[in-house]
Amino acid sequence: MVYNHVLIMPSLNHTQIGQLVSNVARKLRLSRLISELGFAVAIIFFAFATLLVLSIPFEFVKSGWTVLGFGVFIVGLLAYVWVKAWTSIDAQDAARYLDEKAGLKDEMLSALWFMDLERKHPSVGEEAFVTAHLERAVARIQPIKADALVPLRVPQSSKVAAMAILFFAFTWVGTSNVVIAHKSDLTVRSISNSKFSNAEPARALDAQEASDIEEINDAFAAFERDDISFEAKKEALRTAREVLDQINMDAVMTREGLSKLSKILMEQEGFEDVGRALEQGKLQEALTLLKEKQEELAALSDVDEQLGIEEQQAGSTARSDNISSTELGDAARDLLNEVGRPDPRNITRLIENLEQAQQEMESQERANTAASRMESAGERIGLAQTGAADYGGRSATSDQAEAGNGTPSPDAGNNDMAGGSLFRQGSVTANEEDQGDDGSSTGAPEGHAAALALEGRMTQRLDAVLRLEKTQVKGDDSVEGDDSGWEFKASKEGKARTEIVQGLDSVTYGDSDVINGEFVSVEQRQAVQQYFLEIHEGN
Amino acid sequence: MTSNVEQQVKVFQDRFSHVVDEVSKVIVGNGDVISNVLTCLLVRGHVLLEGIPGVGKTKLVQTLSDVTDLGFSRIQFTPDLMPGDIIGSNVVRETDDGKKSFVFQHGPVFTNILLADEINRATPKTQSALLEAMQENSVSAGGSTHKLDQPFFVLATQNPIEMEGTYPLPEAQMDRFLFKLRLDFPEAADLLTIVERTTQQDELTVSQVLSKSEILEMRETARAVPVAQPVMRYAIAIALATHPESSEGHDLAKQYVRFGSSPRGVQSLILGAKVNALLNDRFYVSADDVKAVVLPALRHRVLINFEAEAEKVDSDQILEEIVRFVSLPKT
Repeated sequence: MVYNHVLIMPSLNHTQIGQLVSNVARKLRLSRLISELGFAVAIIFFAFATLLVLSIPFEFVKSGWTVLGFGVFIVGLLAYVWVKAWTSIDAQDAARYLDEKAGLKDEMLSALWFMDLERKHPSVGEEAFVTAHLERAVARIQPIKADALVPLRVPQSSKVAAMAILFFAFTWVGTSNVVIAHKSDLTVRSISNSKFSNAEPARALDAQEASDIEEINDAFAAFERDDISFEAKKEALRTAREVLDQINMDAVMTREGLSKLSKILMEQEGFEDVGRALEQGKLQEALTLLKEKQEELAALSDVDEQLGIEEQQAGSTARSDNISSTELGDAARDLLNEVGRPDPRNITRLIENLEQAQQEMESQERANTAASRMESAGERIGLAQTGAADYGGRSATSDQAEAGNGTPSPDAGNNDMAGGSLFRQGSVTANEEDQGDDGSSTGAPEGHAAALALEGRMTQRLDAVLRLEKTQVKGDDSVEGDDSGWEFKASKEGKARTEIVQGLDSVTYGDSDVINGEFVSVEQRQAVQQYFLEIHEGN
Repeated sequence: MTSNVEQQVKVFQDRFSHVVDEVSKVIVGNGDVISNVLTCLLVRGHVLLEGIPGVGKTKLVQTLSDVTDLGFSRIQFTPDLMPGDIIGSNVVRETDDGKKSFVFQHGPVFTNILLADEINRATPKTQSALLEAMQENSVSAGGSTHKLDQPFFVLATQNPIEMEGTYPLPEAQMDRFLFKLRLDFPEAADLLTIVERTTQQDELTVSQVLSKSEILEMRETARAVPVAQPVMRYAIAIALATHPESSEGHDLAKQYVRFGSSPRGVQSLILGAKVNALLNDRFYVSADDVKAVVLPALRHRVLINFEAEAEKVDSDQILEEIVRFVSLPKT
């Protein structure tokens, strides 16, 4: 047993224990506070980063009140963390920590408790053991320094906080260039960016189409002239046909684009009537409606601008003006039933593109008119073609119904085409080798199934029983050895039945193919054989 | 004052170690058991010794009485033993002048160290005769109460494997014992020493190293050790953790314990911890001191249920788990 006697210094004051414990407690609190604040900062920055991302679609970090609310929440959270961290460690916790780190076996905890008791009941201090305990505790803490016991280190949570700040910074940079777009804006933009309405200058396209029609007209004029050769006329016709092909192709694409546009606009609140007009092919009506929308939006923009000027003039204290501006914003939302409103510039582009599409439709009509005149002229001079071959295998028009020689196919919807049969024909005829799937020769459209025997080829056993028997025809002129007196016919009913019974009795499953194993896989042969021998044999 | 306390503690430690050393001359191994027996003697407790036959239970008690200047009695408990055989009875005595009167004939309980050998062989009625003596240090018989001489120290032994014809101690009787100690079978090296010592020509003799007054002085010293409330609350938390019905009960206790520790269990923990603190040169009791005596102080107070017996879970295993689970409570 080791006796560890400590030299007691009577001059030492018990309050040294209290001071040391207080110092340790303060450092522990500080340490805890830094650590907890690190986590709080990490949480806040992660939350901010999330809000930044969420604000793109939801757009809720916009008003000053929201920012103020977030600010209050953050300050409240930090204050809560501060208070909790500071009050979570008391003197007893510090004493425990001291005991644990210095290996004092609860000496500080006990001493602290007795010091507290001594303050309340001074008689406790007169007890010899308590005094000795406290004095020894004081002597024990002399070499102990609070700084060495609780060194202030960078807590692990600071790394998490740094990561959160970095994450926030990246998110900030990543989302700073993102412009919040409304649904209606996105719709109109997508429409404007679609291929059919490529925002090339409409005038340039007009010039191109005008030159195309000019070319067709030139070809037509060439037919009228007598001073040019047949070959030259033929060449003019070929050129005109190529131009016509291009015009028709563009027209097809334009129609497809208009169809898509009508669907998108039908889903867009406030633009349903425009979409409906496009769907019905009323391009002019759609344009008129769009222009009306554009005028409404332009009027609202003017009001906003005017209000903005007035607000600047009235200064920031003009609360009533703010309210009216908000109300107007609400009115705009009510008008379009959307948050915000579409950009009038997008509608302008849409109108331009629709006008271009209208021009293309008109160009196609003119071109087709010119082409029909040209074809008539070509017929007169023997150049006209009636088939599709001269058009490079392409249909001259976009109408599929006019395409020649469509392949008859139920999938393609050409059921009504004459010629060709959709039904299978029987493939097996008399005396042809039986393939085992006979019975499908009826040609049922839904297919056929092979009528195979359930248990291998056990039916052969019955064939043997039901074979035709050779019976002798009783007659006076019968000659032995001559087959003329014999005829083949079905056995009498009773005899046939007897033969079946006899056949069933005499023929066993052991003779069947399944037992022979001819049609049974090697792995299952033994099991199948056992099954038939043990189960069916007894029946 | 401090130097007085230090001196007092030093004396306590020296005396304690002398007794242990002297007893160890006869009892080989089981040093912890010797210390714990002496601890019980010094905090006014009693000991229940459990062990298989031949491990030296009776010898330990005899040797302890030899090294101390204390009276010693031995009672071999048998089924036909009556309470009067223990505490004594009134007998008719005739004086010289021919008058007859009842005189209380002191039983073997009137001693300092009482060895109740194989206590579980007597009937519960006889076993209970010791209840008052152990708790109140007095005996009531013939309408009068007789005080027992101090120190009064009961050491009971019982055999855990021989159950036929025995009467398990009732819970109330069991609770009177401060510690329940188990004497393990000695290891090979210890066995060799035992054989060498007990088969030689001369019998081992021990010298008396502790007087009655010294024992009483040591008792005072042990009781004077202060215990801070957090440590007391720790002992209480351990005792509560053994209670299956308590909200602070440990899961193992809820599963395997029929009855948890009594308040005497907490007293035993604190008293045993005080001696342990002095032996470790501390003027106060720490949580480690409490931990050191959890098993001997509580193992006989935690009554296990049938499920525990079926799964061969004993109270020691439950208590060890509880000690791992319970920490110093926060005020």
